[in-house]
Amino acid sequence: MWPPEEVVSELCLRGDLWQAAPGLVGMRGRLFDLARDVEMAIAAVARAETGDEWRVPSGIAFDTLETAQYFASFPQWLTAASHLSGDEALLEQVATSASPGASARRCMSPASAALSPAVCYHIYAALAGCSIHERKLMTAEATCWRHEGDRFAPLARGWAFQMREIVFVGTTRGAEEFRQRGMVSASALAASLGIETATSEATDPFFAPTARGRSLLQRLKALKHELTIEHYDGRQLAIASFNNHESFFGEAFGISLLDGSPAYSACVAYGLDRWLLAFLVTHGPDAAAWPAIDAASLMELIPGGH
Amino acid sequence: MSPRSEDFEAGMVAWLNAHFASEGVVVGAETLLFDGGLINSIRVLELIAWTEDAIGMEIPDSRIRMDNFRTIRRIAQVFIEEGTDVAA
Repeated sequence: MWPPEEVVSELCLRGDLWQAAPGLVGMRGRLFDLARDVEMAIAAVARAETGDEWRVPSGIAFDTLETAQYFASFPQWLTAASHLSGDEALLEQVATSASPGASARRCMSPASAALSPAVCYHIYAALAGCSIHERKLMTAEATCWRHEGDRFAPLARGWAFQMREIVFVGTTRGAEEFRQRGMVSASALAASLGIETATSEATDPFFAPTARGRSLLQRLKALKHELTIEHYDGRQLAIASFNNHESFFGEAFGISLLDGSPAYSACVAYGLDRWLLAFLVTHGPDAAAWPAIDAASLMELIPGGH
Repeated sequence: MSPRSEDFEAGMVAWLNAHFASEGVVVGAETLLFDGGLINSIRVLELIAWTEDAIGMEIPDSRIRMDNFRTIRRIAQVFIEEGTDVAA
């Protein structure tokens, strides 16, 4: 196993990876080719589960987050989309300022949308008020934003990062079966890429004051698992999560089953940058040592993937 | 079952029925506590606090597992009958 810091340092030296601002990275060259191959392999796993692929907006309404009770759960991460005021005098002031960047930052309007912290909220919002016959399954990949203070580390923890989610909405039993299938597929994908992983129970980092109760409930009911890699020094990094939300979002968004009861939901989330890092700490930063990734042949190894 | 367990069970049954059970629902010693929305994220803290108060010890998070909290009887079995060492 390669130390992640050494891998990142090597990639930055090569110019394949750079940090534009804390938590915001870019990539190019062989690294970007690899990132796309990893992305395609994960997309292939998602397609084995569903052919219903969505493109979700990059921003999300504050109202949707309110309905999802996001502000009670993870307000610490929220990042918003703001814009300059349309006021002519203000724009003139910014345009003619000796420091227009700083001036613009002072003149931004209050945010009118948030940047998506997760993919699945869009899906629940789109299904709001719907009645579901047994199940709906869809998948989408998007850039997600979570501001985690000064904890940023390239590829491991970004302010913005790529996430692929597969979302199930339907019956109680279907939600848990979907989540269990997700664990099997993700583990199989990791193994086929040569990445050693473990699956373990997990809890979300809920915001206080309800944090302990919600985490304990999540653990008691085993509603969340994570697929993790272990770094050379014992640190763990989650690369995918498997979440059963029970009827939480069904109730919040008014999504019901045909009998009128709230639909259950579950999601499987892959952090693409972390999968890339997991591949790199396994095989090293030198492209010559990277095994080829062929999404089609990988699918032969995924249960139900062909 | 020891008298202490019986007291614990009776106490918790009475407390849950008085505080959490919705109209028409009767909670018994074998009722599955985490099915049907009886226990939510606030109530789980109260349930643990009540248990800790009753046994006179703090329960570490590592012991807060479904297998230990499935029913009132199971809680009594684990935290009264099986052991004085709650942290085990």
